[in-house]
Amino acid sequence: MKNLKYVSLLLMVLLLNISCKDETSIQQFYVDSENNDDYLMIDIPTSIVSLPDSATPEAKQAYNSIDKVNLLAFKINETNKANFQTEKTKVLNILKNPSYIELMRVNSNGRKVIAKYVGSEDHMEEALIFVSDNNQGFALARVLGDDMKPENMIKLLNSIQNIDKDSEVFSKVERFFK
Amino acid sequence: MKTINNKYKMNTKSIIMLLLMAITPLISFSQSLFEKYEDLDEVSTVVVTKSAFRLMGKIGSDSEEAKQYINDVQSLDNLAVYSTSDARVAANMKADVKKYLKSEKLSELFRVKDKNGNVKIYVREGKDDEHVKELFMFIENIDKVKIDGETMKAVIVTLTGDIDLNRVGKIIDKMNIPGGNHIKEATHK
Repeated sequence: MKNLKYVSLLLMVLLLNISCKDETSIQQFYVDSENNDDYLMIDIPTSIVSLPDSATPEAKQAYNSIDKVNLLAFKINETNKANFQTEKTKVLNILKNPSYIELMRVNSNGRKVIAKYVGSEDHMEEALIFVSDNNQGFALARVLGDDMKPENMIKLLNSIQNIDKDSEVFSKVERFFK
Repeated sequence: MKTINNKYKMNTKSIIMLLLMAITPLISFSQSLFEKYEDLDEVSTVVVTKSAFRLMGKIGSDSEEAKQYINDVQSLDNLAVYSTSDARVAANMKADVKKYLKSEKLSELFRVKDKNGNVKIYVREGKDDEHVKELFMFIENIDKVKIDGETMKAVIVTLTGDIDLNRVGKIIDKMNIPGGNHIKEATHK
């Protein structure tokens, strides 16, 4: 009986270890790739777009619920073509984390789109969209916020008026994708 | 001496059983026989999950139709569409479909052969005559169905959930699924 107890304890420890696999988190990935010039890593604040005072309360709720949009992009050029697949696989592996709940995924002709979220359907903390094209590169956009409601997001999109094209963030993104 | 030996034997048996019990949940049962097609370049894949259906419902407008749609999609689980324009992959798909139908014991609901190809629709029994747990469609030898400009040779569509046969035609109609019109045909009452 003592043997049994010992073995079951050992098994439990083993199980715990296996389920808490050490998967690279996004934060870790960002830290590791900070100096990699192939990547654009940028936080886009909500202030880059403006909302008129006449916007609906739902649109305002959505606007306020978003902290920022974090963008990670890898653009393929002559020199980094070989790294594309490796880097893409790294990011895809991060997205496999079970805390990212899948919404949909599409694969076609070397192009891929994956949409996931963190939190619950009524209170989203993070919405992620990954897009990839075998010829152009890939990008991961993460909308980070608190209590984001999808139905309000649509209303927000309809209300957005100006994008601040003078902002530094906008020019950075523009330059990278040119 | 004998009693001690007996105790040891029992322990080993229990250990093996415990091990089996512990390992079983870790073995990821191959979700779907068809998921492997996702990684192939020759295959186009679309997967929409239960979460997405529920969200789509929330975003809908306030029309009566939208409210009905919201209701309908609550009971859907996953939708998966796999299509290929490659003849060899299409042949593999056909063989896998045969395997799948056999192992999952799906029964044929509808079959039609039109100028576009052979369409076969199968279902997995649900809680009653009006409901099915899975709606499975296989289309082959298609000439006119084009996805992304390429002519498809085989298309697999699988929809799981607590599907109301009376309503599924309307739901599918809203999604742009190849052969979707046949599902409406097959289930139209």
